[in-house]
Amino acid sequence: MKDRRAAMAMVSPTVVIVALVFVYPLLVSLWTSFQYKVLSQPDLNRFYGLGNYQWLWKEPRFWDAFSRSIVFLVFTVALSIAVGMLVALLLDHYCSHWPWLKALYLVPMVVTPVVVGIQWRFLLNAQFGALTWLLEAIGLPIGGAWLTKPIGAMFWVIVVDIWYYTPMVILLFGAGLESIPTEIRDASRVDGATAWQRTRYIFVPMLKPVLGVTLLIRTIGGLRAFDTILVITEGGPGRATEVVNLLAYRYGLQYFDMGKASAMGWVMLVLALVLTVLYIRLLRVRVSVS
Amino acid sequence: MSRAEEQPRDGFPGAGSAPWIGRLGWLRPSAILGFAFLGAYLLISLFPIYWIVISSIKTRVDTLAMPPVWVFRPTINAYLRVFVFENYGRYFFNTAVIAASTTAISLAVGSMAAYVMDRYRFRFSDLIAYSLLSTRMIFPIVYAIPLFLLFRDLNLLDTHLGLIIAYTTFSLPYAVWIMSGFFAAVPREIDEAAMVDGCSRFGAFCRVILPLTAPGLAAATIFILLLSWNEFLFALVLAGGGKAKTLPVAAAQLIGQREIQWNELCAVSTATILPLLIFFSLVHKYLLRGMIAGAVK
Repeated sequence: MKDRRAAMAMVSPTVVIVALVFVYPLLVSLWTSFQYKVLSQPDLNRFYGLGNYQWLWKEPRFWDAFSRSIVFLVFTVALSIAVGMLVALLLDHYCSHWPWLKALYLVPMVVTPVVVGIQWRFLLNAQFGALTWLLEAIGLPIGGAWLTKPIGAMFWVIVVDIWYYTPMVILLFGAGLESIPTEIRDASRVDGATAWQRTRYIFVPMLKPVLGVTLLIRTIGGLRAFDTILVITEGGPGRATEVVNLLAYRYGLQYFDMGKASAMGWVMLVLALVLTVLYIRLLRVRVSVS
Repeated sequence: MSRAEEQPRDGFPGAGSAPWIGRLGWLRPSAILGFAFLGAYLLISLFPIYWIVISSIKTRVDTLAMPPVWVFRPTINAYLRVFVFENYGRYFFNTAVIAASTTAISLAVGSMAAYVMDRYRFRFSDLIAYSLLSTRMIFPIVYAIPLFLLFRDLNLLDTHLGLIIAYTTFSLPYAVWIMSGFFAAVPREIDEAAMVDGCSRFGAFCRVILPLTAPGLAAATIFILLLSWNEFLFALVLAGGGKAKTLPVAAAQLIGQREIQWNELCAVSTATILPLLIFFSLVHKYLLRGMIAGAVK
C-alpha cells in the first residue's frame, strides 16, 4: 500500500536516530561496564566480567556516594513536591485571573543549571555573598562559612535543587488544576463547599494522577542532579556532596576509568527503573507515550 | 465594608467569576497568610536571578562590596571584557547555532514520527515508544562515554555537528512525546478529507495537520530549546576544549579558575540566560498548554 509506505518513510528517521545514537551507545556502555577499560592504560584493556560491579560492591566511596544520592533524592523530591503543590493550589485560589503572575513563578525553570550553580555560589560566598550577609543580618549564620562544613554543603545543594525544580512541580500541578472542568468547580460552589473542603475532597483526589507523574519526573530528575552540585561545591568539602553522578563523572573523565564509570551509571539506571516500576505499580501512574 | 459582607459563603477571593479586587476578602487572615506565602516564595524564587543580572552591570568594586550595594551607576565594562576582549561571543554563537539546529531537526523528525505513530500501529511502534520514554531515564554519563569513544573515532569531537547529533538523542523523545498528545486531538476525518481532496499522506500532514498543531510545536520548541541551550555534560565531554565550546561549559570553566572574576562571571551568566528569559516571556502560555496536552492527560 502506497500510503503505508509513506508512513514508514516518515517514521524511519526517528527509528534510525534512536538506533544509531541511542541503542548503540547504550549497548556499548553495557559492554564497557563488563570490561577493564582505563584510557590511560590501553594495554591493560580486557574483558572483566562482573569485576567492576564487584569492585563497586566493596568500595566504601561508592556506598557513601550512594547513600548521599538517596538522602539528596528523598529531601529534594519530598520538599519540592510539597512546596510546589502548595504554591499551585494557592495560585489557583488567589491568582487565577492573572496568568502572567503564574508565569513569573515558572521563571527559574529556564535558567541554565550551570548558571543556577554560579548564582548560588555567588550569593553564598563567605566574604561578599549577598545572601550570606542577609542571613547574618537576621541572625542565621547558615551562609558562607557554613558551606564549608559537610552538613551545610549538603543542606545548600538540596535547597538549590528544590529552588530549581519546584517551578516544574508548580507547572505540572497548575496544568492539572487547569484541566479540572469548571462545571465541577461551579457544582461544588453551589453545594456550599468551603475552600478547604473543595481542596481536600475534590482537587486533591483529582490531582492524584498528576502527583504520580510528578513523583516519577522528580525522582528521575533528583537521581540525575549533577551540574549544580558540580558548580556549587565540586563534591566537597572533602567528599561531603559527592553523589553517584559526580563520582561516575570523576571516574570517567578525570581518572579515565570507563569501565567503573559505566558500571556506576548502570547501577543508577537500574535503580531508576526499579523506582519507576514501583511507582507505576503502587500509584498506578499512567505513562502515556502515544 | 458593605461589599465585604456580600461575599459568597466560601469567602476566598477569586472564587466567583468577578475579579477579587472588588471585594475585601483578602483581608481575611487565611488570605493574608496565603498571599504572604506566595509573595515570599516569589521573592526567593526571583532574587537569585535578579542579583546575577544586576551584578553584571556593576563595577568590579561594587560587585564585591560588603554590605551589598543596591543603588549604583550601571556600566557595561564586564560585558566588554568578556565579549570584546575575550572569546565569549564565539561561545554564544556556538550555543545558539547548536540549540537552534537541534530544535529544528528534532521537531521535523519527531513530529513526523509522532503523527505516524498516532495514526498507524506498527509491529515495532510500542518498542519505539518505550525506548523513547526510557531515554528520559538514562543518565547522561551512561551514554556520554560511548558517544565520546564513538565520536573520537569519527572525528566528531569538538564539532558543532557532533553536539547537534548528541543533543538530538535526548531532544527527539521530547518532540515525539509532546507532539503525540496534540496529534491525538486532531480528528482522523481531517486527514481523510485532505487526502480525498488530492493530498498525499505527507502532503496532508504538512499542509493541514501540522498547522493545526501549532501550539504543540510551540510547546515542544520551548522544551527542546531549553534542554539544548542549557545542556552541560555532553557539551563538556564532547566539546569541552575546542572550537565548538558552548556558553554553559565556558561559564563553568571560569569558575574552575583559581581566582574567580565574579563580575565577568555574572556577565557571562546573564548573557547565557537572557535569551531564554526573553524567549520565555514571549511564549510562556504555550508551556502550560503543552503540559496539559502532554504530561497531564
